[in-house]
Order: sequence, then C-alpha cells, then structure tokens
Amino acid sequence: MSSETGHHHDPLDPGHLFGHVQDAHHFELPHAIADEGKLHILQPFEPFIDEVLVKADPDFHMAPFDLLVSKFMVLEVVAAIVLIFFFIGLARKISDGTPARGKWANMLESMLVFIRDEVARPAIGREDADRFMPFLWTMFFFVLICNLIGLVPWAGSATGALGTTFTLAMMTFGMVLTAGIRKMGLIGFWKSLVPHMDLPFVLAIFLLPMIFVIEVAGLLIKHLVLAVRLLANMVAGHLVLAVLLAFILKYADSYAFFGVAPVAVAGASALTLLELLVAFLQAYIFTFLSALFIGTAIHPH
Amino acid sequence: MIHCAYRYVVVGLCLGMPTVAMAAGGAGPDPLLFDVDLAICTAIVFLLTLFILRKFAWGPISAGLEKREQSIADNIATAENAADEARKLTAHYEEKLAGAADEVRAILDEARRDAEHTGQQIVEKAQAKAVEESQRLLREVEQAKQSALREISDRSANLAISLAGKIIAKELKTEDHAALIRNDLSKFSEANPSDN
Repeated sequence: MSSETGHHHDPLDPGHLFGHVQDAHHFELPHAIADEGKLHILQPFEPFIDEVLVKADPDFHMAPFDLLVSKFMVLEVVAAIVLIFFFIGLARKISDGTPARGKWANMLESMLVFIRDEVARPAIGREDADRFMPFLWTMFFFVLICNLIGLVPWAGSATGALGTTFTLAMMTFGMVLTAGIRKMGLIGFWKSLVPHMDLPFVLAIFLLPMIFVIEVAGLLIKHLVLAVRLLANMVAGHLVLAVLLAFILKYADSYAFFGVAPVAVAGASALTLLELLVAFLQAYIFTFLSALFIGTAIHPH
Repeated sequence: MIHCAYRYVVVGLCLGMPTVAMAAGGAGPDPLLFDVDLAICTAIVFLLTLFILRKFAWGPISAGLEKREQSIADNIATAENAADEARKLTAHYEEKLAGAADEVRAILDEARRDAEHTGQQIVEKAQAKAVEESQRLLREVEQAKQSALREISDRSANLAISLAGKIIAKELKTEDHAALIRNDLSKFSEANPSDN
C-alpha cells in the first residue's frame, strides 16, 4: 500500500505533516491523477526571472521575494471570485428593496444582516457602523471562504499561513488607524490611547510616556494576536487531521492497519465537522474583534 | 536594503516569533514562516475584492436592505394609522348610533303626543258639533212650534172675524144658518188639513 502511495519516508515526520498544511508551489493530488501527487502551479514570472534577471546578474538575489505563485495565492483568488460571484448575484436580487428569494439569497442575506446587526452595530455604534460594513462584510466572507476552501479535499486554507492572516490583521489595523485619526485627528487619536488620569505633574512626566508606549505596544499586539489566533486555529485543526490520517499510512504494512484505519477515518470525519464550526467561528471572531477595535478607536472611552 | 528593512520590521512586529522565509525547495516545519509574496498577494486580492464588492455588491445590498426596512416601517406606520382611523370612525358611528336611538325615541314620543292631542281635539270637536247640532234641532222644533201656534191663532181670529161679519151682514134663516156653519166648517177643515 505504501509503495502505491509513494511515501518512502516516515508519514508522521513533522516536516512531512506540515507540508500538507502549509503553503506550497503545487497542489497535492492523488498519485493516480498527477505525477508524483503534485500538480505544479504555472509560474508566470519564472521565465522573466530566469531569462532576464538571473542572466543579467548570476548572483541576483531577491529575498524576501521569490515571485512564485503559490497554492494559497491561487486559493485566495478563488475565494475572491466566489465572493464576488455570490454577492453581486445577491445585490442584483435585493438592491431594489424586494425581499430575498431562494435559499442562497436568504442564507447570504441573513449572514450579512447578522454581521451588521449583531457584530458591527453593537461594537461600533448604530450611526458609525454602516461606514465600516463593506470592510467588515468583505473581511468576514473572505476569511470564511478561505477557511471553508481548506475543507475541500486537495485544496488548503489560505488562512493557514501567517502571510495571509498577518496581512488581513494589518488591514484591520489600517482601518483602525484611519477611522481613529479621521474621527479625532492625528494627535487626538494618539492622545486618546492614554486614559485620562489626575496625576501630579512630576508623576505625569514619567508615567504618561510609559503608559503611551505600553498602549501603543498593546495596540500592535492586539492586531498581531488577531493574525496569530486565526493562523493557529486553522493550522492546528488541519495538522490534527493530517496526523490522524498519517496514522493510516504509518500502519499500512501491519495488521494494526485494520484497527487504526477505521478509527482514524471516523476521527478525521468528526474533526472535519469540528473544523466546519471552527471555520465559521474564526471568521466571526476575526470580524467581531475587528469591529471591536474600530469601535474602540472611534469611541476611546 | 529596503527589503531587508521590511523584513526586520516584520520580525520586530512579530515580537521575536521565529520567522523564516520559505525556502525555495521545501517547507520546513515552521507554522510561523512569513511569505512576503503571499502577504502582498493577499493585500492585493483583499483590497481588490473590497473595492469591487463595495461598488457592485455592498452598496446596492445596503441600499436594498435600508429600502426594505424603510418600507416595512412605513407599512407598519400606515397600518397603525389606518387602525387608529378605523377606531375613531367606529367610536364616531357608535356615538351617532346612540344619538339616533335617542332621536327615534324622541320622534316617537312626539308622534304619540301629537296623535293623542289630535285624537282629543277630534273628540272635543265631535262633541261640540253634536251639542251644537242638538241645540240647532231643538231651536228648529221650537221655531216650528211657534210658527204653527202663530198660524193657528191667526186663522182662528180670521175665522171668528169672517164669521162675525157674515152673521152681521145677512139676516139668516135657520137653515141658512146651519148651511153656513157647515160650509165654513168644511172650509176650515180643508184649509187646515193637518197641524203636525
């Protein structure tokens, strides 16, 4: 069995397990379909690098860029296309004020209204929330679709890479900064980070700068944690699934296979259902915290 | 140099979390490795999606939801107004109805009063007429009696005068006398056939 699947190394090797979860420059496919189980992604920039840049300078080094299209980039574009397809379709149906008709339209609309009424408006406030709805809706559904694509066999979740989650968190950070600065002015926003305290002048000279530094660090950490939380949840779930399924390969050559395989498949199925919950939950948490941070920025106290 | 600086910023932001650029060959077992290309790609894809959706989806959807909410609120307000109006009208008509019953009762009362009055009048008139009639009849009977009596006295006086005249005028024989009386008596009875 193992000879068929082509695994000649330890299936429980961490490097191998992570390889299934992390970004790559190829899609993992069954060996019957793709050569060596890998479908390499077409690299549009490769000829340019090889023919132009490296030829001109053999020592050419572009780090940290490699100009390679990765699996997650492709899946992000897929998520974006799905998103655009769904919601422009929904917009056509309900933009004239008529009620949504059909299962899809109603499902999408109820999610949109949930994000608006239960997440954005309580966190940001009734009158300000509507300005941020495009951002929050896009964020929720982009994260959600990326998470859900991770449950499709042979695909992967783009939210399982720091490059993605960090950038999304920075989008929120940018939104928080612009919203706060637009509301209170450049200086007003930074001043609002420091809570107002009645301190004697001498103490204030020492304490207020320290509090300011701590608050700014806290602001950054808040957004980094936003990125790491999503990343960790997606990676951990997929990693557990990978480990469970790797047990099957590990015992493929022994009689233990007949005991391990059903348990592993059952466990992986159950965990996939859990992942489905996590996909929605993490998208919700990311959006909820983004709304909360924006709300805090424009209503500091 | 700029790229390197960017990377240090990222490293700094990650607060010492190990960040390893993805090696060209294979991925190491580091979930925190940071692929700058992926980050830039994510930013481009996300922002593009945001702008496209904001223009073609979120705007129209928000407007549609707002419109629907407004129309629902309007419908509710209209329905409430209509219910209020109906309630007011009902009260008005009930009041009117109660008024009408009173009015009907008053009209009936008046009609009854009128009828009673008219009946009374008719009876009184009839009685007066009856009395008047009986009096008139009595008067007529009296008049007839008087005129009859007057005529009897006139006639008897005339008769006596003519009788006396006849006696005086002629020397009468006994037979003549008797014939004369018979003659006059028959005349009297002819001239006075009945006195009723």
